[in-house]
Amino acid sequence: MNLDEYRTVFVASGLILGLIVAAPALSFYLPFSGGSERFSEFWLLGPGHMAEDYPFDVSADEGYLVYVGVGNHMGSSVQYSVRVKFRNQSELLPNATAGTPSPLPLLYEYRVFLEDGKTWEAPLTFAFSGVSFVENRSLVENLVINDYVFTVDKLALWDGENNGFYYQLFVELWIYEVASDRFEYHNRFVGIWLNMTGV
Amino acid sequence: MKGFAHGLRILTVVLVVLAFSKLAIIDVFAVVGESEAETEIQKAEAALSSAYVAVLEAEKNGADVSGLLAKLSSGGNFLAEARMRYRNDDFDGAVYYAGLSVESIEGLVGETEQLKALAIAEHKEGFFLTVTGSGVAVIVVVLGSIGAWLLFKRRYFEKVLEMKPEVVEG
Repeated sequence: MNLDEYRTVFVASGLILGLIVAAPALSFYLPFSGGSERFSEFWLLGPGHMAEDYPFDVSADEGYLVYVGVGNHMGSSVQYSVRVKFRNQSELLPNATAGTPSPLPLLYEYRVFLEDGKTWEAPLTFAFSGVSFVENRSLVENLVINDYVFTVDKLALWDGENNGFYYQLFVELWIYEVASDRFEYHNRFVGIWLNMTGV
Repeated sequence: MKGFAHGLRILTVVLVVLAFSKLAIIDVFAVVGESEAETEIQKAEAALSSAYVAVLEAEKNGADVSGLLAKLSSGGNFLAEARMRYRNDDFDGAVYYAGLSVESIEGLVGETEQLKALAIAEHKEGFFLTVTGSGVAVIVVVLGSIGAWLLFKRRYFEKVLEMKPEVVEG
């Protein structure tokens, strides 16, 4: 190597070293975006905190337990609204394609404030009362969620294909948008099918 | 007898009027209860939202907001309870829980401002130390590189001058 080539090596090395030691100061002026995807986790677990043993065959005046949970990966703290709803087979679920929630009224609500990277989980107990069966129909008058009684008066027709009177307990995730100053549906829901078997 | 019948008629009219006015009074009270509950819930909702926005602002400035979020969660749970009671026509309960929600986040905005100010001060201090440290380090690297280059160049020339020309026979 001649002297000019050595000089190029020295200048390049000096510049690289200079950039390395200046990096902490440069980070104040050049924000490095993480580039990671922002999302929320949403889950429903069985009574053993596992994705198994979900209640399915249910009857009146029996208590059931599941766990609902949220994980925040949105890059900052978030206010969530976790909304519990109840439907029969003919009523509408949220529309994942349109990103719209179910038009059914919310029954029970959890308000959750969660830091980025943190998770939240809470028990969701439920029971039914005022259950009756007439011919090919079943009627649930009351749904008790976390000891709170809601009058639902929900009818279900006999499902001959799956042999049962089917209802669905589902939970929607809503997120508070600061810009619009209101909760908006976060296009996530989880639910379990329930077969009403007895009074 | 005629006087008695007249008196009875008047009494009936008075009773009917009283009965209606009582119903009207009850109805008015029920409406007041509902609207009051709604107002209290909206107040609590607004208080919670502004506290949340303040917490987000503090978080953006680098404040540790985990304690504040715990308080907000408590306020949020009370508000959810108030809304559930409102939907079930328990307006007294709704007003009570809306009040608890506001109470549980009282002073939170002030606390948030303090944390934010602390975080900004820490950020400024960190910024000053980092920029100063980096500046000094860059100067050291530049001067060191120049020094190393001059030393290297001198050694290079000395080495070149010490070299003996090689005679090649033709």
